[in-house]
Amino acid sequence: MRIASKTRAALVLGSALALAACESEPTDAVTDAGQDVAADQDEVAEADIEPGPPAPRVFVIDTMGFATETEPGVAKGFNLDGQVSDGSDPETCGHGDFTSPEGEPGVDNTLATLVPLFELTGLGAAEGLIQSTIDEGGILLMWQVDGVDDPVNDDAVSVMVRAGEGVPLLGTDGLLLAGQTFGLHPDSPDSRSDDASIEDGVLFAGPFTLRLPLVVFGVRYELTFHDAYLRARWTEDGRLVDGVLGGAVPYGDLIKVGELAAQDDASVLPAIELVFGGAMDMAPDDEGVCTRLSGAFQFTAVSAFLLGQPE
Amino acid sequence: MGRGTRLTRRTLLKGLLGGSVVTLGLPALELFFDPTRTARAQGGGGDSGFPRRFGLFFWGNGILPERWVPTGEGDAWALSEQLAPLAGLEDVLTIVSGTKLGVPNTSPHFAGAAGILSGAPVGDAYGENTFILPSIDQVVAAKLGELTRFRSLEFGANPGPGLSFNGPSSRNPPEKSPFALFERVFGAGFTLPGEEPIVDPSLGLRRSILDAVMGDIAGLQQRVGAADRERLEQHFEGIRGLEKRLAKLEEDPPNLAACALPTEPLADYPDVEGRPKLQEKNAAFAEIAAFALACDQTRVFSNWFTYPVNNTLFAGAPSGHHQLTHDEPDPQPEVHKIVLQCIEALATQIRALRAVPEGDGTLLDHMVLLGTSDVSLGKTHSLEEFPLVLAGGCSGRLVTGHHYRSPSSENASKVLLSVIRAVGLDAASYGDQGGQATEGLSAIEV
Amino acid sequence: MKHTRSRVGRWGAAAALVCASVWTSACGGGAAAPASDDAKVTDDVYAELVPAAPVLTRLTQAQYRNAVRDLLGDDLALPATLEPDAAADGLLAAGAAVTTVSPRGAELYEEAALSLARQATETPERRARVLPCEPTAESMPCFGQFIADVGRRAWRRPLTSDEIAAFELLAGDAAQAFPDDPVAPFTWALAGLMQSPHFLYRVEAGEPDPEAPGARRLSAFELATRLAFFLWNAPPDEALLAAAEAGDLDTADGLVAQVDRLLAADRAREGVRSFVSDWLHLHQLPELKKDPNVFKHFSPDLAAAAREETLRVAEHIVFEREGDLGELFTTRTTFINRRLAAIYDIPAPVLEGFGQTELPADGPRRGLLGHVSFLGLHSHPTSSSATLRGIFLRETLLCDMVPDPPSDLNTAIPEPSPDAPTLRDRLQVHLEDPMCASCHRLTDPVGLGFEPFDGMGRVRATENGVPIDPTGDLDGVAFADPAELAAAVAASPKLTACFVKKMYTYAVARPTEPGEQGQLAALTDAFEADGRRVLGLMRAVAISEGFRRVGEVQ
Repeated sequence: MRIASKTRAALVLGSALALAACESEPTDAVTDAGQDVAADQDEVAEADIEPGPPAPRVFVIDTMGFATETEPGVAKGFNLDGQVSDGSDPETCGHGDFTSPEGEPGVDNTLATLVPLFELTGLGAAEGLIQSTIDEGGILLMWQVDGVDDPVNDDAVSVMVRAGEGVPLLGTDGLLLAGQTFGLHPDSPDSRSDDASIEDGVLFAGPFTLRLPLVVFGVRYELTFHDAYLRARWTEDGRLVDGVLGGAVPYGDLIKVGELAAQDDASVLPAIELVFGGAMDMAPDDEGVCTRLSGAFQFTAVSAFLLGQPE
Repeated sequence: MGRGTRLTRRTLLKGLLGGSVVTLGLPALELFFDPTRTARAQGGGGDSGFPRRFGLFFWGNGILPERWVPTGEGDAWALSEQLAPLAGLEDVLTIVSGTKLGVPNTSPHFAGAAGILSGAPVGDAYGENTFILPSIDQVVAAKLGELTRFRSLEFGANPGPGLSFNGPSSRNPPEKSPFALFERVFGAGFTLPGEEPIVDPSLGLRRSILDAVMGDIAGLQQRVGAADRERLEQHFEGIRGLEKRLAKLEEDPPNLAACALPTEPLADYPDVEGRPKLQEKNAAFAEIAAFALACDQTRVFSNWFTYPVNNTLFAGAPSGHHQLTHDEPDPQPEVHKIVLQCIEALATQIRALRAVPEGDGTLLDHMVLLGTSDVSLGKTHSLEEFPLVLAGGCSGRLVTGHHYRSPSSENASKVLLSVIRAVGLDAASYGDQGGQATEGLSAIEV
Repeated sequence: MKHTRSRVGRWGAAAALVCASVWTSACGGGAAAPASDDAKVTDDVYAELVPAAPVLTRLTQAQYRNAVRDLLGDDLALPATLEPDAAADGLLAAGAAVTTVSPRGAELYEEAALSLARQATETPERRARVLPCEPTAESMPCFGQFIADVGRRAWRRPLTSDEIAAFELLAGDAAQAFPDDPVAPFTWALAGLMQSPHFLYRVEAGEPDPEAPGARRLSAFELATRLAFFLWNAPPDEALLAAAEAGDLDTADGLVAQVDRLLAADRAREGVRSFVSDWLHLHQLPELKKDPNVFKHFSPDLAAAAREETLRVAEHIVFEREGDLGELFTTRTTFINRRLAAIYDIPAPVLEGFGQTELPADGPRRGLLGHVSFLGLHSHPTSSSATLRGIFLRETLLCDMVPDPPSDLNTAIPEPSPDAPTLRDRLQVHLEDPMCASCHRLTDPVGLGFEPFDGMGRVRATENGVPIDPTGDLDGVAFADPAELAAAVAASPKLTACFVKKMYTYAVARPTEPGEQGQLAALTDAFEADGRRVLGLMRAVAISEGFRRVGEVQ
């Protein structure tokens, strides 16, 4: 069962985001859950208690799922290529764009068309797996928002994509607890979008490149997400809701994930090729063959801290 | 914080001595610290041939009196809204309504608890509430407890510190885990009828140590003050009970047809949504208690389902119980639902006792169970229209299938006097001061 | 009655000397006290001490476990349940002098003694700690030494020859019952030692004081025991027993030397933790239950974390800072793990265990009254409670008396509504109804000062969408927010006197008697003059007359 789950995990993540696989290794973060309440007094660590300037605002994604086709032709996402395509243009290799629920055309989210296929190929638990991976600390995707003078309207903020490390504390609702502290992952992408803005409480940032270290069932991956954009509403109680994250994933990276998964289950690679082979819709190469898959996720995020958070 | 009769180390003793307690023609002190002297008089048997037993079921924070009182009186009556969980048990019940406690309501919840359980005003020992007389289970255990392996058993699903008092500042801590109670009664040291008694060379050594401990205690008693002498006497009694238990191990177990092992309870009952599994725990306790009686391991138990002032989150309740009794606007629908859960637990205890066949009837026929609380209306800490449920005819000594409605707000202690007489105590009165009753409630006596 | 230097004899001078050393030099120095200091204890301003009659104090559960640890080693499986502790005068330490051993308790003590004795003698390594020789069929000669040594440590005094003889008899019985087991006599003797009232109780009979004819004092071993349980929450160690045996504790210098040794030892930290736990009712924390549908941050491990935070802050202020009592309430320093940090919505200082950090200067959280151990414990499962918080502050910290509500009073408060959205609005009925107001005036106004913290202790700015008004006054000192309220508590003279009373009661391990008022007043003045340093107070209590004197048996 474990192998099957691992295989499925790899597939899901591969389908979602470009994955550059590293070798399997046990991770301390997952196995060492220690919240040692009764720790002896000599375990007290003298932490840096220097008061600093106002801390940056950090959020960690607590729920995430596919931005699916909610009605024919409608899906959340971003216009990654700046074009409005009906599927007839060569740049999108036959894949038309969606319209956003708000009525904006040109949304690149071909992943949304694949989600129903996941059901057919036994990947129906994909979203549940994403969620459980978040809950276990396998995806600690964090947004660090700097330069915020006004959380409702501020046209000059920057957003850095960071990756956290640690076993998440879960609330009584089973989701990541707000206000908790994570370590900074040594491979944190730290990609930055310096011209981000907040308009009427909606945070918008992008494009940036997102490379995110993940751990699923003890297997470590690093994924790359090109031309990523982020949009979310910043609530008064300090959460990000109605979040959308979009970007494009290279086909080659998906195949690498497939190869990794195929180590456990050889049937996976043909399935990946079958599902994704014709779905590429972005970044045509010299021969006009699209090399990336566009996609989008919905998410919410809660406030968080990074250990020894920088100023 | 206790606010009742103020007790100090010196007056603790005086309080105990001064009270009239159960009048048995002996000083109270001797009664409670040396029960042998009164217990020898009558054996356990009773006319049915089965021993008479006593059970107490207690829940905290009271009832809603307007929805409590049964309709009809005497033998023609029907359960009220709040008593509905007892449906099907009417023939073994006697509901007593319309009584009130005679004790002053000096300390919310605890005055009522002391009043209904000891018949006496609550005491205040250094800021803490205490009973100044023993609770009814221990009054009974002073007689019935001599004959069995355990003098009495105390337990409860969410019992707090319990209210089983031997005397001032002397409580019997209730068992909180059904599994622990099961192990204690039916684990090592228990033998089923027909099995060989235990042979263990350790028993003699354990008894030697207990003898030495009693010697040490007696020696210490010569050197300490009067209050400490009484505290040591209580300890002494505990050791004596242990000795008796060791002796029981070497005897043939009681040969009782109904004796069997209860279902082994779960090791743990984890909360669900932050709510304790009160009904499940109580069901496990109820069965253990029933078989502890059936196997004659004890003849007295007290089931402390919840505690006065408990702020338990009951299943489905939006807030803690105590907070709701005070804050919820009338007609307090959430409090009502919690009272129903308490009475459901009482019904579970009664059914468990009735499920054990004994002779021509059931175990319940040979005992009496008293169900009550610390107040009537929680919101005002009222001691009027006090909730009293009796189950079991105690070998034909108490009426059943009856609703007695007091026409004159009688003292609730009368019921307690009827109960202790029914189980075999030759008592002239029960309680002290305003709570004292010198006559029982003849309407519920046979 | 006034105290007039008489009958104090040598101890009068000693007390003065001791005070001088307490208040100016020992325990880490600190600012010199005001000039009048050492006069206070000996001058005729305090009512003369009427020593309390001796009482029998049962070991608390923690003391029992510490005694077992010291006697048998720290790797034994300790009993999960023992006779429960119960309070008197708000302290478990004092309740141990009032409550009894129940039949169930006696049963638990027997089980524990049998199990511990078996464990302590089951391997050669463990036996080597307790037994003077490895038992063989011919080892009975070393039994006498064993029972004398272990008995002295277990009972905290030398055994009499009769007592030793009784154990030799028991050992003989054990040898007969288990002829093939040379360890059995030792095992059963240990089991006997630990069931004896001489182990389970602190026996304080007292003896005539040769220095003060007509007066009585604790015997040297009784005093050693009281000192050790006060300062370490554990039985006396060998050095303290030896000092008692040598008569050192009968002299002022000898006593002071031992008190300073005990206070300087690591175990004094355990002593302070034990006192603080008792003082602040941290033993109630296992009852901390919150509705998970209301408080996402609640978890089963929270109670233990909350307790640890409070104890570490107390340790830090008492030992590292040697701070004023008030610092416990005003400090921004705290020690938290990730879970508490999430509740406080501040960065955790460490990812594992507990670390030191500073609470935000611009936030409302300060000191012990900003901890979950106070804010969460004295709340309802689904909401905060100004009344419960107020009662704790009044009764436990300030020693005010809050009467119970009168009987048959309708205690309902309105539900939240647009007209009364906040708890302050809803509690208005308490202050408008004269029946309620007489008591709630004591509790609610201060309790409402903590309303910026929800029932779990998280900071909130609004309740039902309406900004919270935390202003109020504590005995005439106005405060605008919880931080100012904490400062008002810290500065309250009631806090000082109440703290001294709690410490003294804890130390003597019984409720205080009216005849000790003068002693308490003297200690309070000296404490104040010393900058309210907690270690200084512990030292002063330990060498005070009230601590070592007893009255006649009553």
